[in-house]
Amino acid sequence: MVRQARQALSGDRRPGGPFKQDAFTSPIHSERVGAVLGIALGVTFSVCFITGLLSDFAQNAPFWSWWPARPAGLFRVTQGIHVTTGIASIPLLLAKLWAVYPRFWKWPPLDSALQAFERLSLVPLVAGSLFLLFSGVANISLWYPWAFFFPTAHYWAAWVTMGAIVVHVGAKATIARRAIGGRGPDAHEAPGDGLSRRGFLGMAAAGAGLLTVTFAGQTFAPLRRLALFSPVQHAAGPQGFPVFKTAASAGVTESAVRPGYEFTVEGKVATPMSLTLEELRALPQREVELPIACVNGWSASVRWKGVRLADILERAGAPSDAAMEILSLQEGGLYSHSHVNAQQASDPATLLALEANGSELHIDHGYPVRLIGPNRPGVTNTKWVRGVEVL
Amino acid sequence: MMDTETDKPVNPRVFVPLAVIGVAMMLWGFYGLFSNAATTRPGSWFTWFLGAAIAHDFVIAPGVFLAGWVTRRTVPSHLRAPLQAAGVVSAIAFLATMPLVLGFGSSGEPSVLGANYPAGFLLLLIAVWSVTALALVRAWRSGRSSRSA
Repeated sequence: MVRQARQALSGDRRPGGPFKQDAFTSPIHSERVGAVLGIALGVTFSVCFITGLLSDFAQNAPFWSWWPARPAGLFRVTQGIHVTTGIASIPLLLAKLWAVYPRFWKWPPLDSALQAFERLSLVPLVAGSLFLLFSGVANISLWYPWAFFFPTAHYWAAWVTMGAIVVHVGAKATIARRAIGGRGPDAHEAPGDGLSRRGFLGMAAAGAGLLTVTFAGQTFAPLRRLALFSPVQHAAGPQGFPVFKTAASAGVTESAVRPGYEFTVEGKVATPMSLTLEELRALPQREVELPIACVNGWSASVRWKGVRLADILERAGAPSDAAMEILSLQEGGLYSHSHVNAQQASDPATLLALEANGSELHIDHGYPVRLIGPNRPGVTNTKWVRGVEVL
Repeated sequence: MMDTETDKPVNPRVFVPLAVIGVAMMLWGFYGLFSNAATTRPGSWFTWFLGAAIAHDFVIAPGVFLAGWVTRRTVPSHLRAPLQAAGVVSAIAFLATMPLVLGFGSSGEPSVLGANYPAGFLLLLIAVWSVTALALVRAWRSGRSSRSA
């Protein structure tokens, strides 16, 4: 039966349309263009994969490990690179798929078991690459047309896609080396009258550059004026930086301004404590400049003022190697609490902030108290803090 | 143009180890996908995963083919390259910014999704097509001088 199927597929009856040998006439459908774009995508997808793993690690470090508190701006940089590189990959991926598109209509479709395996691995390769870029763009645009939770779906898709990329590199390494070295069967470009290979690659690069320049300003301040497509507007936020989740959407508009507010320290401490807002303000106030860096790729430098978390822990008699949960007035949901490891807790820049950029915290930025720490993803800098539970 | 001969050079010493590593990574990915089904929602995941490839292979790519076919028949050859490049860059920029430009997302916060993205896209088009206009003028002039020479 296999033989019959094979005969049917490899028979002389080559179908017409896109299956015809000369259906695609442009010189850009060449090994060389495919190799150049493939190498570029190999680099950009690897960068996205590594920075993506870092972002996952920063938020879900397993119990036997910890995400460091320093360098303070590390997450801002890696996540900015993750999102910007992903966006720059869009023109590269579409150009690459167009360059190799005639092979999608190759006739006969299969002529060996090895090729069957290699072509099968193209399904997760192509589907996964498109899925990662599409879901990433939709996510930063706050558009959720699907039923899954974006971070986990995107994360596992990245493993599938990266695996397919590794298989593909193995299958194409020799051809790519030959093509880059100018020894491929189509090394010399036939004269055409449309876009040349060089023009086509230049176009892909120009597209990548254009998207980079118009998106990167969301995290890279010198390009802010060119950030036509920044999902956040830095200047429009209260106190000069954006708000991703408002007090209203977190359901804390009343609880955050209730007069009897008390900040509690509980759990494994020698003396559990409870402090009013006035008592917090009476403690030594520290000032630090730290970025608020969102997983969605934007960031802003903010001058924070408040009480050192380490000072409070010392007063309560918490062990110096203790980890803890920061608890929010926000009830339920993923961001109602966040984990602070011992290294982050003892860092002098980790604050329970009461002020931002010189004035009392706006309720949308977490009034009365919010956590801010070096090298912490934005969502883990819990707002509307009601206390600490030492673990 | 692409004959089967070009598919042959696969070096087993490179391919086999990378294929083993790659397949292991894919299996890990699918394992994670299914063992976290409550959040990854495999039904929805596969719809969008395969849907993305189908949308590309049967809608976007044939669309590009059709656009190229029309361009070939309507635009003189010496003006074709700049028009093709500008058209493709504009289309890709539209795809990448579409959720913002068409306002698919939503936020209750004025500092999020608060920019005028359609105006931004218009600005980007003006930039792309201004450069293209210069390239077209140059191509048209050189086409004319080469014919008169």
